[in-house]
This record gives sequence, C-alpha cells and structure tokens, in this order.
Amino acid sequence: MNTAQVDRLQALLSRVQLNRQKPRASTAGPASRVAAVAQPVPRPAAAPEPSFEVPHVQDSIDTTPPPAAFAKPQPHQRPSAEPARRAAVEPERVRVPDMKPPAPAPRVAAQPERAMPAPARPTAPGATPLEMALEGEVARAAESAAAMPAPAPRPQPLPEPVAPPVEARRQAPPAPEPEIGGRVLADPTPPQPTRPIVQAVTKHPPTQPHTFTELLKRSLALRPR
Amino acid sequence: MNETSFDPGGFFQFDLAQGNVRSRGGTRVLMLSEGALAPLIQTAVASGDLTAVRTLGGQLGTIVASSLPGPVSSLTSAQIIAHAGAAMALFGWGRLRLEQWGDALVLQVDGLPPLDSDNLAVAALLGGLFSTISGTEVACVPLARSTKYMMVDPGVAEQVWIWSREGDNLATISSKLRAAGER
Repeated sequence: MNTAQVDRLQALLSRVQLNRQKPRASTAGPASRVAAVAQPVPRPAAAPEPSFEVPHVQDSIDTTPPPAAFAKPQPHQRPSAEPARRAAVEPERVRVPDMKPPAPAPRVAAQPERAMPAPARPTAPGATPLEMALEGEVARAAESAAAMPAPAPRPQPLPEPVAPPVEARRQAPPAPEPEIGGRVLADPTPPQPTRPIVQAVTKHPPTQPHTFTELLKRSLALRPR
Repeated sequence: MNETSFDPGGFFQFDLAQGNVRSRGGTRVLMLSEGALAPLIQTAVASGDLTAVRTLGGQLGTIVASSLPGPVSSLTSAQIIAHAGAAMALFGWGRLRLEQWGDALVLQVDGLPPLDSDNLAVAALLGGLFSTISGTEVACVPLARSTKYMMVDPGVAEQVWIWSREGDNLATISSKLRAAGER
C-alpha cells in the first residue's frame, strides 16, 4: 500500500467518522433511538419499519380527544405548546414522505398541544416534527428517569363526570347499596311519609290511644248544647 | 295480639247432686230460657223498675273487673271491651262491640233475642256492667231502631233518649252534644 492509498483510506475513515457523528443525517437514527427507549431489546438500526415507528410514537402521543379538564392550561403541559404551535403554523414540515405514511402525520399536527411531548432542548433546525417528537420523548424519558421518581405526566382519561346525564342515570342499573363491614348504610325500604296523614291534613295532632277511663270521662262530660 | 285474655274455662260449676250452678266467684245462678225471661223483663219495663237487670249487670262487672290484667285506669278500651264482651257472652247476652262517635262512646250489642221493644233491659244491664267496671255511674241510653247504646252521664240520659225517640240518628245526637268545658 502506498502513501496515496493510505491517504485515501484515512480520508474515507474521517468521512465515516464524521458521518457517525451526524446520526440525524441517516434515516435509521430516530428509529433506533425510539426502539432503544421504548423496547428493552433494541431493534436493528439498519432495518427500521415505518409501520412500527408511527404507531409507537402515536402511542406515546395519545391522539384521543382531550377531556374537558385538559383544555385548561396545566403546568406540566405548557412546554409542549411550542412544538404544537410550530407544527400548526408550519404544516409543510409535518410531511415525512420518505419514512412515514402520510395519514398519521396530520393527526400529529392536528392535535398536538395536549399530546406532543415537550422538548427538553431546542431541536436542530430542519428536523421533521416526528424527529422533534422523538427527540423530545427521548430527552423527557431521560430526565424523568434521572430526576423524577414519579412517572412523567401523561394525559390520562378523566374519570366519569360526577353527575351523569339524566338519561344515563335513568338507563343505568341501580347502584348497589353502600356497605361498610357488611352493613348497608342506606335504608333499603322505600321512602315513607314522615308524618301520619292525619297530622298532615289537619291542624290537630294524631289521636293517641287513650285508656278506657279517659274515653269514658269524655263521653260522660257531654252535655246538650 | 289477643285482646281477650279472659279464660272461660271452668267458669260455671255444675253441682248435679245439689242441683245448683255457680259461676266463678261462687255466685249461684239460675238458667232461664229467653221465652221465660222476656215476659219478666217486659213486666219490669212496664213498672219502670229495671233494678234487677242493672244488678245483674253489676255482677257481670264484678266478674270482669276481677279478670282484668291490671287497673281499669291503665287499660285500653279494647282490653276492657274484650273482657266485658266475654262475660256477657258467657251469660248469653249477645256480642258486645264499642264505637266512638266524636267524644261519645257507643256500645253495640248484637245477637240478642227480642226482650223489650225499646231495649231498656239491655241498657240497664250495660249501665250496671260499666258502672261497676269504671266505678262511676254510667247511663247507657238505647238509640231507637238500632242496637246501639250511648254511654252518657245519667243527668243527660233523659235528653238523649228524647232526641232518639224524636228520630235523631246517632250523628245528629252526637252533634247536639258538646263537651262540658266547650262554649
């Protein structure tokens, strides 16, 4: 091997190293990172499957309709507003024709403010929204694993409304009686009038059972008017 | 709940050897048919003296009072009527019930043979019975065309009797009466 060949080999090696230092330039980079975060067994970076990546990313994004409570600004959701706004303002950057099917991408752009993970650091210019989402997901997972013992806040479905609609309450089966220690707290008997009807319709209290002597005295006390 | 705790068992003791019948308490009784008793009662009514029938009622009252589970002042009207009715039934004086019309107590006796046209004999019997039970003089005024008797003070009995003879029904008579303290 002559010096010229050695120089060419060194130049190639340096280019290869430069390429390795720029993993974003390859299409397999984000997919491998997502696989490394999401799955215990890393998938081969050379064979990414778009059909796998998109559902996985969407699973972490959660495109279900937002509950009413999520419409209000939450402290842990405020960082996700920026990529959402950017994705909504720049819809052309959402399209990823080379690696993702076009259908899921608008869904990510359509409802991103509640589901898009907040990026921990500024995303490199020119990155696609999916890459931004992946990078934010990776960063957030790393931060949560390092600093927060509690799991990262994620949109959870709200519990059922306290007062269901009237129709739902009418059609719902009767709820079981609350019990504590096997004792029914609620009275299972149907509601009864609290006062006798005599007392309700007259101003006089209900007649109490009198002794025979009292009744006889009343009868003997009668006089002609 | 059985209001009738009156025990009729062994109430009459028949001594066939001596030819006598005694009721509980030792009182000797004579058994009469209704055909024999009715003329006697009609005679007493005609003479205006039903003291004997009232005395019989007093004796029944003594039997009732001795069988009561407690003092009369502590018992309900249902308990009193149950015991009094049992005693009357033992002597064959029909079935006794009690009604209340306002403040007036009204007795009803069913199942009696016709003794006198105005039911004065039964009125005398009931008067003696409940006077003994309650310890107060009670007049049981028969109401015309019925088998009911209103329990009133003896001083009011004549007026009630007149109203009844004039055709006033029980409701009208009750409305014509007022309590002593009522204006």
